[in-house]
Amino acid sequence: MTRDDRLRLCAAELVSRHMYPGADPADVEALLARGHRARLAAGTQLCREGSPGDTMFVVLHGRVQVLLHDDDGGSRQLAVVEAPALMGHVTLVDRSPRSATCVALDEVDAITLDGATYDAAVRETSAIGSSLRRLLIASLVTQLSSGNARIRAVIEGKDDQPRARGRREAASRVNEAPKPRPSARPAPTSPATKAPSRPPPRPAAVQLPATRTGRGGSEEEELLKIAGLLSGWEIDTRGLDRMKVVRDEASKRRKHHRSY
Amino acid sequence: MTELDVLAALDVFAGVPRADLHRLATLAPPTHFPAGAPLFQEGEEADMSLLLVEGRVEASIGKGKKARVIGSAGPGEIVGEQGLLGVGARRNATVRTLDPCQCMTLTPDLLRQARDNAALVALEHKLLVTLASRIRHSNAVVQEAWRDRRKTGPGQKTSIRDRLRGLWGRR
Repeated sequence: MTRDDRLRLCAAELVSRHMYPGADPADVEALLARGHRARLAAGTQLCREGSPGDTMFVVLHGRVQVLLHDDDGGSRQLAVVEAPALMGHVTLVDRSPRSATCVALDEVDAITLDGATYDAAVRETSAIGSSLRRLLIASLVTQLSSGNARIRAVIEGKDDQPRARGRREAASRVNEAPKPRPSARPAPTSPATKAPSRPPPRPAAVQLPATRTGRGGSEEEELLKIAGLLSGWEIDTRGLDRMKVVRDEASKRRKHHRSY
Repeated sequence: MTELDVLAALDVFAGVPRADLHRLATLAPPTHFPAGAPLFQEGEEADMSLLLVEGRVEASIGKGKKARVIGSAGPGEIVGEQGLLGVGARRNATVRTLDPCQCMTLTPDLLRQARDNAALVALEHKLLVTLASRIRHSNAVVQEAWRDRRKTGPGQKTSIRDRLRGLWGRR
């Protein structure tokens, strides 16, 4: 398969997978042509949670593991994403550190788009700009719903994803997470895992609502915030006060309605 | 202030040429809703989304006495964006107006018709940033739940999972 064939196929599949009105495969193909081809060996780290990033990847072929750090200095699998897929775009959208670590599970064939190319395209009123935005929106919505499904799984105690690269598990879980590589050189055949020296810092942009009483806010307020997140609602983390006011008004209004 | 002035004053449309705003407002004229009007019902099919032009709305989950407010939104915010994807998504919260509101209805058809409209470009960009922020929050909640699950043993204080299950799971 030539590169052009692969781009065309990838563009068509991306658009059909991420159904979004007005995204056109030909425009997506033209967008991909602005990027650079990259072949990443299995085990290559595409991005690292908490680090700055200036690249997004359009994965044409291969699988990519998405990991989040846990408290043990290791990380756990959030998802395995198969081509065609967009990776690493959250950083370019909000210009904050990487939201997760991504590692190639197979040899990955990808197109990379740098920050400058992204910035130019995402503001374009052209068909290419429009296709990029719509692809990204559809991809983010899919990503969000899979994230929320994961939260439900954790809540329901069904979350049995392996802890990858955890210090304690490293010896017994050698096959589950390939060792990340800093460059795109081919990985040696040994799949041995290694714990990172320390967990990457949580991106500063995230203000998680406190989930235990004593760390701010009443328990119910905290839970409502998380429920709001699960519902896909933007939760205003700037002030519980405002939220309280909203709820007070709402309860007044409900009383008012009941009087009819 | 004309309807167009109100639109132009929204942060999301900063720098958008008036001609594009006018065209968008012609294709999707803002609709008025009185205070307390239901906009979306939890569980119903989502086939469009709303841009709030004036007034505030609140989202709640559950029904009757179990209904709980989970968030609110104001002018310039987009609500119910899953309705733009046109793939039979369901509303995951009930949304009603808190004040008299003006909303612009965004449909998949509008997105097809007006893809080169600068006002729509601005809206899509805003939606991207909003979604990215939600993904970061979602990731942080996953990490918090992992942490909580390890720390909460039997007999200890109810875990975040149990409390969320009580709030969210029995629907």
